[in-house]
Amino acid sequence: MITSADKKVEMECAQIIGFGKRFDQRLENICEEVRKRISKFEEIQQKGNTTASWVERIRRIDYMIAIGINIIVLLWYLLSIIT
Amino acid sequence: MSEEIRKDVFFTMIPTTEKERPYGMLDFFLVQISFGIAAWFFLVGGFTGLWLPAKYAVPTVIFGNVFPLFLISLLAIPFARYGVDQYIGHRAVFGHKFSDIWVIIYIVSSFGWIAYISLLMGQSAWKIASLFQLERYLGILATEEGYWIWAIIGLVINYFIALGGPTLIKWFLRVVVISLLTLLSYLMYSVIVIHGLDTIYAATPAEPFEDLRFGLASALEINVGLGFSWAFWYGQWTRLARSERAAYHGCQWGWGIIAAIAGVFSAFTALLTGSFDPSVWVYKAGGIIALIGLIMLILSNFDAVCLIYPMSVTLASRLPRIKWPLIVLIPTLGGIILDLLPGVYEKYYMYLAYISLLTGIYGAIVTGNYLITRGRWNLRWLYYKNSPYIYFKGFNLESVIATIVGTVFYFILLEPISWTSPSGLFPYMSAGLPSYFLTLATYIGLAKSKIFNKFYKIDTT
Repeated sequence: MITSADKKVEMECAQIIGFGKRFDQRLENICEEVRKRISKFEEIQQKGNTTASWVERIRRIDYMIAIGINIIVLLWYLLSIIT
Repeated sequence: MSEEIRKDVFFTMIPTTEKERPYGMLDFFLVQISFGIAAWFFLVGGFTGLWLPAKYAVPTVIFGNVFPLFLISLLAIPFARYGVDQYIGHRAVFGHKFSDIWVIIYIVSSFGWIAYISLLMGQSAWKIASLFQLERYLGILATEEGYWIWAIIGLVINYFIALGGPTLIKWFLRVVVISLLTLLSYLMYSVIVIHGLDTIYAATPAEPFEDLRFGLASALEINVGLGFSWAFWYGQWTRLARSERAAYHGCQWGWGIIAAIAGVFSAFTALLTGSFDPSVWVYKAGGIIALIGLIMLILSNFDAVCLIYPMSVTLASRLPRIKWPLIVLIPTLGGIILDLLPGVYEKYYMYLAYISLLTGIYGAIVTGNYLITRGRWNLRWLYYKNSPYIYFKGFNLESVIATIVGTVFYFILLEPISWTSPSGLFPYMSAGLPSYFLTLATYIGLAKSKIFNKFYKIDTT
C-alpha cells in the first residue's frame, strides 16, 4: 500500500529528478541521497554558518593575490601596445 | 551509504561532500594545467603568430588569456562550496528553464573543442604513417585525406577513458602532462637555442592583416575567446576540489598564466614556420624529433576526455534515466560529426569568436550574481523545481535581458563569419571584453534595482 509519506517522497523525487511515476530503484536511491545531503547541508547552515561550505572556505588574501597579478598583466599589455 | 551511491557521486547529480573529493591543491593544479596546455592553446598561439609580430604576439597571448580568466575566476567558488555540478548550480542565476537553454548552448558549442583536439591528433597520426612511408599498407590513413579517420579513432579511445570516471582520467592526464611538457620544452629549446629570440622578434607574420590595429584586435579576440571559454568548465571540476582555495587557484593559474606559456611559444613557432598547425611544426623538424613530437601530440589527444567527462556529468544530471555509457556517447558523437565536416580545422579563429561571445556573456552573468550574493545559494532550491529559483516561468529576467544586451552589442562590434565590424569599433576595443563588461553592468544594475521582483512567483530577497 502506498502511504502518504511514500507519495511525498515520490513527489519530491519528481521535482528533483523529473521522472514522475517512472520510479526505479537506482533513481530512487539517487533521489534519496540528494535529499539526505540537502538536509545535512541545511543542518550545517542552521548552526549559524550562513555561508556554509562542504569544504574549507576561500580567504580574502586569495583574491588579493589574483587582483595584484592581473593589474600587472593589464598594465604590461597596455604599455606594450602603446609603445 | 551504499557502494553504488559512492560511485554515483562522480557520475550523477548528487552533491559531493568533503571526504569524496579526489583533488587536493596539487592534484587539482596538475589536472587544470593538463586541461589548459592542450590543442586549444597551441592552435590559438599559432593563429596569433600568423597575424602578429612577436613584440605584439607575446603580450596579446598572455593578457588575452590571463585577464578574461581572472574576470570569471569567481565561478570556481560556489560549485566547490556546494559540491554541485555547474549546470545545477547555475539555476540560482538563470532560473530553472533558462539554465536548461544554457546547458544546450554549452553542450552543442563544446562539440567544437572535442573536434579540434581530435583533428590535431588526426593531423599528427597521418604524418607519422607518412614518415614511415606506410601508404602501401595503410592507404588513405597514411595521407592527408585520412586525418579525419584518425580523429574519430582518437575520440573512440577517449570515449572508453571517460567511461572510467575521474580516477582513470587522473592517470591518463599524467601521461598527457608529460607529453605536453616535453613538447613545450622542445618548442622552447627550438625557439631559444636553435633559432634565437632575435630571429623570432625580427620575423614577419605570414598572414598579417592590412591594418595592424585590426590585426591586434583580431588576435586579442581569439585569445580572449579562449580565456573566457573556461566559464563553461568550472563546476564540473571544482565540485571535486577539497577546498575552495584549491578550486580557485587551480583554475586561475593552471588555465591561465602557466598554460599561456604554451600559447607564446606556439606563436613564436608559427612566426618561424608560417603555419598555425602544431603538427606541421614538428613534422618540419624531420627525423626522430618529428616522430617523437608527433607521438606527443597524439598522446595529448587524451585531453579530449577532460571535455567528454564533464559534459557527460552535466548530461547525466539532466537525463538521469539514461545510463552512463550512452550519456558519454553524446559528446563523443558530437565531436565525430564535426570531424566529418570539411574546413572545420582552419576555421578555429571563427569558432573562438563565437565562444568569446557565449562564454563572456555567461561568465559575466554568473560573476555578477556572485558579486551580489557572495556565492550564497540555497542548495534545496537548486534541486527543487517549485522553488524561488523558478523566477518568472523558469527564467530570471535580469539574466535574460543581460544576455540579449551582451549578444546584440557583440554583433555590433564584430560579425564573426565575415570577420568585419558593422560599427567600425572593433579595431579600437575588440568585442569580447567590452561585451563582458556591458553584460555584467546590465545584470548587476537590473538585479540591484529589483524591478523584476514583482514578476517572480516568490520573492528571493
